[in-house]
Amino acid sequence: MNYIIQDVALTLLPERAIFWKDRGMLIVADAHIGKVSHFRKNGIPVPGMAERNNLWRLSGLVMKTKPEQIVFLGDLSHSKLNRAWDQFVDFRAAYEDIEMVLVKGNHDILSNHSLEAARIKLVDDLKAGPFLLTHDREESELYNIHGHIHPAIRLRGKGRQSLRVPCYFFGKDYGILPSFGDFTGSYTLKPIEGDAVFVPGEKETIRVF
Amino acid sequence: MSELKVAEDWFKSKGWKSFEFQKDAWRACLKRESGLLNAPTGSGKTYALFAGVVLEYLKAEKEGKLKKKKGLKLIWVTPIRALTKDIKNACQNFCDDLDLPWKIAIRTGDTSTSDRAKQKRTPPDVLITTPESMHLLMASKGYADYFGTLRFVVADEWHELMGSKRAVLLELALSRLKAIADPCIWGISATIGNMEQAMEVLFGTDFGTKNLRFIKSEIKKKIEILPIIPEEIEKYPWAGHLGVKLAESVLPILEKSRTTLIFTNTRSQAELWYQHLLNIKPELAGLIAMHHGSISRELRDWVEDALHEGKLKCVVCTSSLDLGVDFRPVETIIQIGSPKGVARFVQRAGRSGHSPGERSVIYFLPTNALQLIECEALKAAIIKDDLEDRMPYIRSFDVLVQYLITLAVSDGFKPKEILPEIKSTFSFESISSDEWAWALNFITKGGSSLEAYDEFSKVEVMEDGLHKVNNRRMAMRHRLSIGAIVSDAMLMVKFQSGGYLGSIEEWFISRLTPGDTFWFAGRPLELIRVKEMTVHVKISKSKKGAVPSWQGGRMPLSSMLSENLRIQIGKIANDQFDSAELRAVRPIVDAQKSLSMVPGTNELLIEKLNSREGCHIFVYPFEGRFVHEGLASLLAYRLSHFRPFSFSIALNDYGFELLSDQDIPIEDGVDSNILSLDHLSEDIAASLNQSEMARRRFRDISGISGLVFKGFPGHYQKEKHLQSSSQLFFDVFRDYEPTNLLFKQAFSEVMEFQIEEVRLRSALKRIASQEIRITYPEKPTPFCFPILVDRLRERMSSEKLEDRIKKMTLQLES
Repeated sequence: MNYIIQDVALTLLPERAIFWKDRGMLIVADAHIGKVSHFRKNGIPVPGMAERNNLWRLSGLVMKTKPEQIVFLGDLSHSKLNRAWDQFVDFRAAYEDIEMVLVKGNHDILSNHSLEAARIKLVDDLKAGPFLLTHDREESELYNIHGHIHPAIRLRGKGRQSLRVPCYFFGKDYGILPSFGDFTGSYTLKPIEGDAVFVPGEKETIRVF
Repeated sequence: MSELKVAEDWFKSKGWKSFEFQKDAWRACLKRESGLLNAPTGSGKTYALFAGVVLEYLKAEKEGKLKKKKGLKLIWVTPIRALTKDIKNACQNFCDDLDLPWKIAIRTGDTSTSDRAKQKRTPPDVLITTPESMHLLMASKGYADYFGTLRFVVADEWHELMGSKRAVLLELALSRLKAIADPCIWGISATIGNMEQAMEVLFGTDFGTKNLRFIKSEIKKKIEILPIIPEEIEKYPWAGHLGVKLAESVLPILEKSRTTLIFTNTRSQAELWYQHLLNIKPELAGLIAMHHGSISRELRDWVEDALHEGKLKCVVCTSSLDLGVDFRPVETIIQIGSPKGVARFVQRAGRSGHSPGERSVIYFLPTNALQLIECEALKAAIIKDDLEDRMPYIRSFDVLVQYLITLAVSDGFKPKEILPEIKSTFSFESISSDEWAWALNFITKGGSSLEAYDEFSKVEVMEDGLHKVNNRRMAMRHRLSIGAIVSDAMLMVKFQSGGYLGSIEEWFISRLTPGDTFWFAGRPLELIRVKEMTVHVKISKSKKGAVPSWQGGRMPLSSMLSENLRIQIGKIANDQFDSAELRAVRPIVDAQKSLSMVPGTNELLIEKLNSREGCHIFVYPFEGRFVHEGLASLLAYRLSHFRPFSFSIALNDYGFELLSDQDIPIEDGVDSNILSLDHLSEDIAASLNQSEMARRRFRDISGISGLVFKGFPGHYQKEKHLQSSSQLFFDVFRDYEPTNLLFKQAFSEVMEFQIEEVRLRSALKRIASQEIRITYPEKPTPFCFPILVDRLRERMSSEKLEDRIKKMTLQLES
């Protein structure tokens, strides 16, 4: 599903990431690499497959979109160094031509050194065309695209059905990406007149508001 | 006979006469037998066993059979903390009069850390405790020595424990104690439908192999049931509200009785009634109190003490006062709304009229007019002694996982030694070697992962095969989450100036904003702020506010009550209005008959009507809400074979509703025998796949098995990085590890306890022999109206996710 905002066409992928085709830029928010491992290390048995699937999905996306640049909108890693991060470093090394940038988020407590070693550029924010890319919302002249809150929306149908799903959320001055990582939770938003809301389905992304 | 003399003399000195069942129990204890004592509350059951334990000890002492005089001799397990104090007093009196220098201690969640440490250093002779606290003791080092001198374990109110996972906790604890000290084990239970099974669950594989005693007391109490009938039934709400319209008629009852207990089904109802009674009769201030599970311990203690002393005219309460000590001044009980089960009604009635020979008086106040029929059904059931079964939990792997970690946290365990103990319990008699291997793998390797780089750590396997938790933080976290009662995250409610009021579910507070008023603990409170796990409040001047509405009270009507209800419905179908209750409800029955019909015992009524919301189908099996939930899913699933549908489902204890935005071809369904028993298991499984039931069940499972750590007051921030939700776990297990036994347990629990498969089958069998009658009422009937307003909506859809989303979009935009 393509959505045109600020005269720019953005592809809202069902894999919960945005592809900006004209710039070859893949935007991924809140991947939380290592969250599952962090839980496991503390004796809470989240299926380890959930961790690996994040990376597989990311690799799949890279192969599908062939980006020149990947921008992580914060919370790339969940905690301190762990082996899930090592796997991410392997993934990074497999795509050395692609520039990878991390916009710093609240969970990103990895040292600059670890990021440098993985050849990931750390920035506080990133200006790109009409957009300011950040982790959490920032006041700006530019249209702010961010992550952090893991947006979801509750859909209601006739007959009082309801369904809560992660979503892309675009307001007047800002747009929010759903969290990329599995096992990350979400926060329900209520759209108002003028907002645009998209739900990533199994195969396609659907506009719901 | 001389061996009983000490106890008999003591009874005489008190001016009491010992009953035959008490003497039976004393003799059995003297012979070091185990068994079950079937006796109601207030019958002297405590002395039946406690005196027996003392007699046996004195005998052993006299015969020089005691290896050690010091140390723990008796553990008295009770399901509720409120009982501990009275049991202790009873035991203490007996010991004091006999000059027996036994130390009797209480250990529950309320026991202070310093008292616990004291109990650890010098074990008391008698420990009165809960199943959870017993497990906590097993989570501390050297517990085997601590329990080594044990001679008896008593499981009090066993019928109450048996229908919950706390019974599984107790079964496991007993299996360990048997191996450590081989104590005699006694259960005390009120009468239930499955008395023999109650024994089997308590004793596990000892049942049928060991000689066990069953002792029954012959005390039976008379119960007088008085319905409160609204004067103008036509104006009385059809749909369940809180019954406060009848509050005026409660006042004269309070007037003429010394003390009255008013039982409600939910805490929110209790708050509302308390508030309402004060509004209509302000003179009650100071004479009326409230008692429910969210109110602070101190406040509840105060209420209980005041009840004892006869200082209160009335207490509005929930099941929190179902059990426990007798309050002698209580002369009258009022039940608000359906008690849902015969046994519960009898138990509540029994809270009044304590002196032997005195009868219990209970008023039934209907919260909707149809409940008057239920009142009549209750009367009939009590006459026939139709009491419910308590369904035991089996194969609760969440509890097993917790227990294994508990053992690993203290001194560690060796699987080979512990497995036979576990297999001796009723719950895990059938555990297979694969399942056992899974459980061990789950706690040592975190599930199915085989990879070398995995960092999972919890229980470590030492060189000698000992399974142990060595990480102190992990051990502490486990100790904090021992237990099988899982509730929503609870926040403490405190005055800003200090003073703890109680605890309240997080989701309720999350709907309020600072400045809002809500009623809690009988006071209007203004929310100031929420900080970490504490809600700061002050007294509000505003008299209006949100009534906290807690979840709960969603108990289904029991099979016994349902059966008796159907008999009464059959009577009114035939115009047999042979009691005051049935005559009172007649205008509503007539309205039902003119709009639709009242089904006879050989008929099943289906009503179909259209509204702005869509097409509604109402079906009335009168089987209780859980069975209706299953029937509704099944019907929805089978109807979707005609074409893809989205339904939403609503239900109550009398029937259920399917609602769709398209016409529901129920007529075609009935023609093709849509409620048949064919392919039932497959169809239930298929209709469940799409339902949320298992997900809801998984909440408890993930809490008990330690997947979800809620954090505790004071520990909130520290552990925040490990907080997650059962929802997330459910999703990842579904996607990545569907063979996980905890995940599968959610589904089997749904079958046993939610769908009540056995009941569902017998309901369908009954329906198969009934004539199905479809009516087309023009407006909602008295039968369907209560369902319409019911809130619980179970989602069920056979359409693809994307189709559903598209359809919902249309509505959002319109």
